[in-house]
Amino acid sequence: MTAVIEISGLCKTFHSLWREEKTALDGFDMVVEKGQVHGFLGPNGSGKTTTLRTLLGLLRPDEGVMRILDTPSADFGDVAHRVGAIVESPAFFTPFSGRKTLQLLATAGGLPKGRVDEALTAVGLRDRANEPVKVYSLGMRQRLAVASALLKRPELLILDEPANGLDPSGIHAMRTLMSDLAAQGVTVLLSSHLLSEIEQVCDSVTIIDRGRRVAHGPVSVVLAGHDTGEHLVRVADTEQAARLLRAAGATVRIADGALFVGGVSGPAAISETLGQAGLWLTELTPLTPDLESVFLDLTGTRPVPDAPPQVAVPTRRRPPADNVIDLDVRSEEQA
Amino acid sequence: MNLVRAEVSRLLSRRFTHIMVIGLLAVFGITAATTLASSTRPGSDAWVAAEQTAAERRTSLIQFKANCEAAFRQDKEAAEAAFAGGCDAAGDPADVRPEHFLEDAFVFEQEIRGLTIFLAVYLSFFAFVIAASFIGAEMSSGGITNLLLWRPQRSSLLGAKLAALTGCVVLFSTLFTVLYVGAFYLIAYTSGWTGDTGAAFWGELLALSWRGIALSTAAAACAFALATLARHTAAALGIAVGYFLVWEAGARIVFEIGGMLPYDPYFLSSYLSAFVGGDLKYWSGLDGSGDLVITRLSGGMVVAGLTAALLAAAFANFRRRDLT
Repeated sequence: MTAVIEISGLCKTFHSLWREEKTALDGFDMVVEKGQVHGFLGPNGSGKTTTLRTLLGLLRPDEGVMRILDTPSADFGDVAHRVGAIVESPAFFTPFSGRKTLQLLATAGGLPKGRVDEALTAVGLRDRANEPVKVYSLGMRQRLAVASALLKRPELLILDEPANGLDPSGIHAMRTLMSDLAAQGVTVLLSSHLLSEIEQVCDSVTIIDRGRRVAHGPVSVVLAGHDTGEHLVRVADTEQAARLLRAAGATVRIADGALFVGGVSGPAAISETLGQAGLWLTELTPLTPDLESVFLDLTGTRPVPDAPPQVAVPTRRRPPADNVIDLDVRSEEQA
Repeated sequence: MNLVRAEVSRLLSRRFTHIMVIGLLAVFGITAATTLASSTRPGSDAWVAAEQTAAERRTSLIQFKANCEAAFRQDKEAAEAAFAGGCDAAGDPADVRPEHFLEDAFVFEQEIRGLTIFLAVYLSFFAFVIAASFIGAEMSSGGITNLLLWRPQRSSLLGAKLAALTGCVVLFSTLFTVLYVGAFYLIAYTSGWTGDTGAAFWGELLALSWRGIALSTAAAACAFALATLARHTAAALGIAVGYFLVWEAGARIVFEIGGMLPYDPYFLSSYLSAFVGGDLKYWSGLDGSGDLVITRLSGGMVVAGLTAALLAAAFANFRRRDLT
């Protein structure tokens, strides 16, 4: 497949006279292939928006190579008409109406006026288009931002948190829109915190943490890479069941009155072992990982009891250390 | 060109622009209405009275000159102290005309110069505020980021905004100046006296008007540059207010108290005044001795140089800045 976005070794440090320098990107890599809906995940402050801003020429990188639509990002101007993007929270001049806002962009881009209504309809704002943006809810502003990105009929759509502030029907509509665009051959790079949405709509994913890629590849492969093969088992006598399963060669841990059993060939082996001893199962569930659990594990943001998770403090650049978990699923797969 | 068109549309659609234009028209309306209300077309009685006052003034000037010349003949040193400005300082009797003494009539020829200088000042003020808000709002709201996703050429983008802004300011200032001068001419024509308005008068008025338009355009460009550098409307306005309060008012008082003459060349207002109003005279001694001058040309050069320097800094900064 053809890559439409290629980022390699991207570094960006923010310097300030008054504050400590802040490394946002520390050798970040990403590849987005043509026709994909690609999810871009990371905790707050991990470098997602900095990556997108750098890719779109709004920030100057310190190091690294970036290509967008087969063009060096330094020449982004040559392909800007093929890229629709929203970055972070949408910024509009609020006294203008939604229609006026898009008309100005269409005029600046030399686009026909008809595109404005087309984009407004696509995001469900047609009937509210003449109201000033200041009366729009956050979700409506988000829809307007997506409309501004769609105005160019882009080949590549870059959306930073497009579902932010949307109601459930808006989220559903956004998901449908992404799928429709992908079906039309539009490549979508989608940064979001809604992991279930990413899991449903994306073909592939990149996870970033503290400025570095920690996992990437097709969603199913990333999830499979974190499948421990454990099963959740509930029985009346957990202590005896644990002894029997350990004796059968399984690894067992007990938590919250349930057994977490690994190292077995499948659920049948568990039911057979316990059934032969007269222990009857009340629950036997294979523990398949979802994107949220993978994300929490990889980014070290899984909540700990009595210790609310804190947003990571920006760091200075780190040496390319071994302690960074790099689940390079693609490489493994290709190897 | 598309970008300039979009920016012109953006500028003209802004409510703040509408409010400022309404404010400008209101100030103009009040000034014109007050003038109209206080002016009457001079009748024969008024002319007789004016003629009489002019004759008295001429006599007074002739007498002053005669006294002065006599004093110089008698004791030159004492006369120099008494008549520091010389014997022609009070004016030439030949220049005294009756229309100067038409008490209740608005005399266009007499008043329009001051009114046009006032127009230049308030056009510049409005242009400064509108320009600072036009770019400052874009910078602080992130609207400029949206535009850069469409047109990533930063210098062209900023240039288009500047071109749209200054083009609109020049056009509006020109039309408004025509309206303003025309309205006062009409007031004088119908309810006052137009005076001696020959070709030389109109030539001088035209040049003064152009300098006013140039000053308002420079004010808009400087505000644009300051708001681009500071990224906020309020910051640009704060810099301007701070400069005038701290330096133009505060430092001038300190210079005066300290008797540190001459201080006029250290103030921007001296150059603005010289550029619009004509050569500005100032003195190096407290007794008015050692008169010096800031010429109109040097005033214009300072205005142009300051504008160019601020714009160069704004473009250089914006071209390299990280837009977070």
